[in-house]
Amino acid sequence: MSSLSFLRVLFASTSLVSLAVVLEPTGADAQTRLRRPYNEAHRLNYGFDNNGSAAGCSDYTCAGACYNGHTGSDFGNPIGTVIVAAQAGTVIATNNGCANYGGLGNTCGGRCGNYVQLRHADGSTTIYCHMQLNSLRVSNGQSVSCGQAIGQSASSGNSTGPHLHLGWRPGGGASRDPFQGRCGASTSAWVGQNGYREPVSTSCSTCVASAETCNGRDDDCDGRVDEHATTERCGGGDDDCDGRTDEGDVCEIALLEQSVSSYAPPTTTDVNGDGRADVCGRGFGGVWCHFSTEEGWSEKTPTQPAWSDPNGWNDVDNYATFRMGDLNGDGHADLCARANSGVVCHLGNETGFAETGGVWYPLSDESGWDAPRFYLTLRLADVDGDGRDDLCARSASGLQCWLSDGASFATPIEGPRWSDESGWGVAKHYGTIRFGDLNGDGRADVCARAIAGVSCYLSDGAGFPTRVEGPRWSDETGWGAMQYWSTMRLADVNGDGNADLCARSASDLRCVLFDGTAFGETLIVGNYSDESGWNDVSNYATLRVGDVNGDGADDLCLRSNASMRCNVWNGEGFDVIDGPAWSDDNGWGSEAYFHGIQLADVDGDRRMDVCGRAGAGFRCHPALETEGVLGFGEARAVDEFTNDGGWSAPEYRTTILIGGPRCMAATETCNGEDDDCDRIVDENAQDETCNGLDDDCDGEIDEHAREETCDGADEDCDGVVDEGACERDRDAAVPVGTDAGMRPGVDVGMATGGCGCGVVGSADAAGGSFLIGVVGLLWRRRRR
Amino acid sequence: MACGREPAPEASTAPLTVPSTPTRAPGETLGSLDEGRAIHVRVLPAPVDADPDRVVTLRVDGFPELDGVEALDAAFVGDGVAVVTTDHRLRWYAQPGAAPVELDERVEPPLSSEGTRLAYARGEMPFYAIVRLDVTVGTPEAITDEARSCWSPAIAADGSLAYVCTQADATNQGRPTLFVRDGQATGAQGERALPTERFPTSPVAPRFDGARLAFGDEAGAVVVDARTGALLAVDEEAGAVFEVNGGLVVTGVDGTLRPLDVAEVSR
Repeated sequence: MSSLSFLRVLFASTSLVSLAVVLEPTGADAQTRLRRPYNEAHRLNYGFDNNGSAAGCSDYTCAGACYNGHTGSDFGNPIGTVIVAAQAGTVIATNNGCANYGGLGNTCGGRCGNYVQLRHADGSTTIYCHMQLNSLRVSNGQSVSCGQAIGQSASSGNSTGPHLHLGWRPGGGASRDPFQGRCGASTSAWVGQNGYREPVSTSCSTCVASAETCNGRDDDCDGRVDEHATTERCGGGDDDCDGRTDEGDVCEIALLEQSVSSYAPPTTTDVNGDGRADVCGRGFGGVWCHFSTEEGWSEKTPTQPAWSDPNGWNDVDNYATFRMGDLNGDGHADLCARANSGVVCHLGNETGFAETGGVWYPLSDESGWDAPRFYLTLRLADVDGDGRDDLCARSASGLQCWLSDGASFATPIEGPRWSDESGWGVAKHYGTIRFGDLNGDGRADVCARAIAGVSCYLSDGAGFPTRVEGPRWSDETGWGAMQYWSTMRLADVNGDGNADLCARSASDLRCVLFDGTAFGETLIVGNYSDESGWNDVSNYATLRVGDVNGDGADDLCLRSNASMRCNVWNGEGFDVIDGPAWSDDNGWGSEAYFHGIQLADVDGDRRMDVCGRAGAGFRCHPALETEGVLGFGEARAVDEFTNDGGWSAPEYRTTILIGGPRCMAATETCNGEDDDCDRIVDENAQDETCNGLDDDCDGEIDEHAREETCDGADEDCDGVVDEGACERDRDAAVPVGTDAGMRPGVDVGMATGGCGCGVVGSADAAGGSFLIGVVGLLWRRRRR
Repeated sequence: MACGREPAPEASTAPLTVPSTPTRAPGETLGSLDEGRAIHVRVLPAPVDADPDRVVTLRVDGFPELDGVEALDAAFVGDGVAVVTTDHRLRWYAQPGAAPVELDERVEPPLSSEGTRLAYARGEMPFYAIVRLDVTVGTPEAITDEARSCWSPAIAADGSLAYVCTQADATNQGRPTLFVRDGQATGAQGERALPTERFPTSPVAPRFDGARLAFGDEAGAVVVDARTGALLAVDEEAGAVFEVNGGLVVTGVDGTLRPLDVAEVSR
């Protein structure tokens, strides 16, 4: 992120924080409401000058019933008018000793003449100036009630004629205009303000001012109830003052917006197609990636697409929809996200993402897709098994998918009727939509949790006709709580080619195995219970799925308070392997970090590595086996996505994606690899024959070759039968002086059994080349 | 000894040379008089039944650039003129033609000057602090706290001050009280309250020579003994009080200068 980008992010973050502080109610904001400070119907003659030090004046309606520099309100009270306290308070200052008629420029009483000043319960003060000599009825320190007589008006001090000057200082600060108006106060200080300059109400406010709280009452007596109410946000408070805390899925939505990689992990982020997962993210100016290399990370790619803050991509209904997968099946990861006009995709290539993209499908704001219950359900999954990831999402009427043709999401297919009308518009249901290949047919199937439990639907490429009942993880049994339903994952934990369903309950982390047609046995992965503290979002929200030991079975990794830990399938149960020390003590308990934990194969060894964003940058710890023991190596770090670069802001950090890469299906060859991505390695292996090939895929060619004998077979697998063998036998059988080379009883040229090979000629050029090619692949160690 | 008090000091027997009344334009009154230099002011109209600032236009001898300038007050100080602007800023014109130097803000007239020193009030109605300032130094010195209500200071040649502040009496009501602070005395202990019921309230600054305080109030012109508080002179026909050649003169009803009529004050 450039310096300017960082400054913009920092400014934005700072601004947000400052605003929040201003909105917090304080004691000083609580306001005492005032009554008319006399009983007669005398009008306001001159008001407060609201235009500051500028020449001229503005009264509270922006008119001119005022004079320059006036800091109070002048009421036309004749001499002798009884003045009363405008609200209950304490007398804090008085002056009595000025002549009743002072005149212009008179300095008596500091220009205020004979006066009384009161302090009120909310800390505000009122002062009553130009009063009559010896008319004061109160003294310093005395308590007065609202409407209590305190003296009589005159024209003492700096005064050009009899009147009452009332000054008001809210919170004891600077003098302010008590009248509400376009140029005056935002809220009237009067109990009852009437027409322009008309006498205000004589009613005393019974409101005892205190700090405004969210309770449906006007605590600060400013005439407004719960005026600090804002949009509800997840935080344990009643921000919108409706009597409910964190209602309306605000916390659930907040979790889903921050943990995209947990429920919609990229199928691949291998942008340059080199077999290693790359890392990409959206900064202030747009998207860029760092390619994983043999030794670490590349420099950043060009910033494209330009999904920048100025282009509006810092809106959560846009940036929370970042998805990566292979849309055209070319082995390069592609990028999609929902713009206001629809889902836009950019194809990946050797250098990054294509500069130009397009709207692949119009899931627009205009058609309502900017609602969380829709945009958070966007998924990329290959539902028709053609090697291209398709787009799926839940609309108001249910789940829909659109098949990729490599250039758009062209063909719609209907999914389960998970509609708003049937109750799917709440996060505890739509937030559980998961894609995975349940029956191992190469097509992504879909599962989600309804009120009564989980339902899955198998894809046939043209729809999801087959329903499979899943575990009864129902609302009734507590699965409606976010700490449980949000942990649902599809993972092939036993490596049988069928995705299983895993999730954390109150007592444990469990997986229900799918056998290809139905769910059956439940495996308990481990004690990840509420009681042992796993109901903390910084722990349960870190559940990630991936094959860390490369055995073809998905493993389950989570962050404990002390470190990452992976539950690795051992054929019968799960072994726990410790990962990097991403502990609470090291700051990983912060949502700025734990949400970004992801699994991806960054070194191309077909083992998923543990990756995450720290304050100092992005790093991955490769899974590796040392002397047969699985562990995680030193971090491969890139100085990118740092806090200093502004990446702790959610509009940036939640877009950082790394995953896969996807297995690119090819013809299975005898190389120790699962070339056709069927999770079976070298399934075409046969008994070894003498043909110059590694038929049994054990890494050795013609390992049964032995010394040629005269039996009609090519024991040494050189393509020649009995070469020299019979002559040698004959020579061995003949005593000195007899014919050499003839072995008695051995017929030259007789085919025998031996290695079971037929006689073959010399390897032709093509075959020789193939042999060389096979040999060339034999360096890879067989692991499956 | 009448009333148990010391007799009033005798009035100076030296003849007082009253300067001729400076030439005034129609509507002008005398704002300040200093060794033959005069500041004339024309008070601008003000709304009735209100408490606006007293705004004047100036005509300052020797400072033609200030002719017609609107201000709240002006006074000769040193070789120059100090002006309180209509937005309560204090500016000093060191000499004719010089650019003004801003010395303070939230200033309330009247300005009292003596030599190169000024005294004035500073704050927001009715809470003003008394401030002393030497224009050649430029650093205002608050003599009283702005939490008090003080006004109408007068400064003497040795820096002594006289001023009025509200002070609670036996009934716990505030009453205007005349205070004197000698020389360079500071702190609460440095001021002395004078037992007098007359105190300055005129928009024209009082005059103080360390021994006597002369000022105007609603009832006329008054001279008070700054040591005892005794009334030394009262002139109920007088307006503002000025000091000329060591003597006191006042403006009469017709605006002309005349010596202050000294009347025995008996109690």
